[in-house]
Amino acid sequence: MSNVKDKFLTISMIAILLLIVWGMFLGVLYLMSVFVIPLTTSPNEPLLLSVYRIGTALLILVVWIIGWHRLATFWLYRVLKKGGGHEGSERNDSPS
Amino acid sequence: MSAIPLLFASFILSALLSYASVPFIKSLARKAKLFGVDVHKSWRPLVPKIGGISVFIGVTVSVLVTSFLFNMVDNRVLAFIISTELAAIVGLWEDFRELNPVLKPVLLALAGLPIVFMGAYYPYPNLPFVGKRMLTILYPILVPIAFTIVTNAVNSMDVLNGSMTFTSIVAVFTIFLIALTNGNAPPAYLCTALLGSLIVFAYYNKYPARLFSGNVGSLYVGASLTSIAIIGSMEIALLITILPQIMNEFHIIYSMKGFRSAKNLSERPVLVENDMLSANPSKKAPITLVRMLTSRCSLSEKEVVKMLVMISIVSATLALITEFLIIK
Repeated sequence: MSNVKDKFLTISMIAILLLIVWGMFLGVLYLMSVFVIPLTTSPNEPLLLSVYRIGTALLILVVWIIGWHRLATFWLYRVLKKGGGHEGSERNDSPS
Repeated sequence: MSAIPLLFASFILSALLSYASVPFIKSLARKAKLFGVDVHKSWRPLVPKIGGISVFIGVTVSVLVTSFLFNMVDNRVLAFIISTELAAIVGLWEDFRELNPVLKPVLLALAGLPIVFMGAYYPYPNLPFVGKRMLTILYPILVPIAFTIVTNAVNSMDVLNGSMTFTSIVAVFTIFLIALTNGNAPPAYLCTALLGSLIVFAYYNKYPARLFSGNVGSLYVGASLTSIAIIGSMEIALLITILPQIMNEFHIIYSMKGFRSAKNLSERPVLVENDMLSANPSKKAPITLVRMLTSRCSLSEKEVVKMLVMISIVSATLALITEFLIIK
């Protein structure tokens, strides 16, 4: 029974994390479309402005990724600290 | 309504072709000694690891035949076939001999170039809240980047029996629903071809797996998803549908401090004991979705895959909400 409760809690937490990441993604897209992507592209746009646009877009994306990675790390280690996870055998999975 | 025979034909044909090609692929794997050890089982079976070729054969032949029969041959269909084939070749290459972890993303980016050079894209993506935006210069640069990100994301999910296959089925079905609702026939029938092959492959790849997809399969499926989303202007929906895969990919890259081979890991993310998976408590282990799922209690491989599918369904729902309520 506790296994069912644990599974439910884990799924719920990851679903909440997913909702947060989704919300952040929509925010990132909004910021990028307002501040980074021009409404109309002028053929005479200065090079510096183009560099600024691409640089800002990359910065926003990196902040987004670091944001949810930190959030996930914080959540995972909190759960593991509370007693989740098990020391086990040497066999393991491959991440790619 | 006239698209229904096309959708049905591409689905059935790809499923039949994939099913028919499985014995040939198994014998090919035996001859080339291409087996993978299923490390999550106590009896550690050797499983043929190039099963993804069946998906590749099923989809490619089905798309070629149905597009000729239904007069659907155009630059988008041809770009889809060439781009996905290039990704499959990269995957097959890696199945034979491990690629340099930095070279692999570069090669996958190159696989996206046929989409760019054949003009199979529409550089006016529909963005949430703000509508269409003109990206005539930036879009062709983003296509190869998207190829690398999505193919690697799908590849990163291929860690348990059926995990990549079932989560990809959820993603393809979501994209199919959006294409169908928008009345966009070419991406819809590419989706049905992919669904047909994936459903057949899932039968062989589900627990206990008799076939692994290999890099050829996961990279092919990732490239197919990217191509379909670009051809059908469903980029944002695809990115949201595969958010769990993307999160998994970036967690791994971030934890490993860049593109590195998984073989160089000092600590593995998940420990296995009596066929049960549990999260490795060590801070040196990379963060993965499977590690997060097994953090609270030990789970069987089957249970973890079921939970991954549930998470995929949540993200698919978010993609549909975004596409129909926020973008429109």
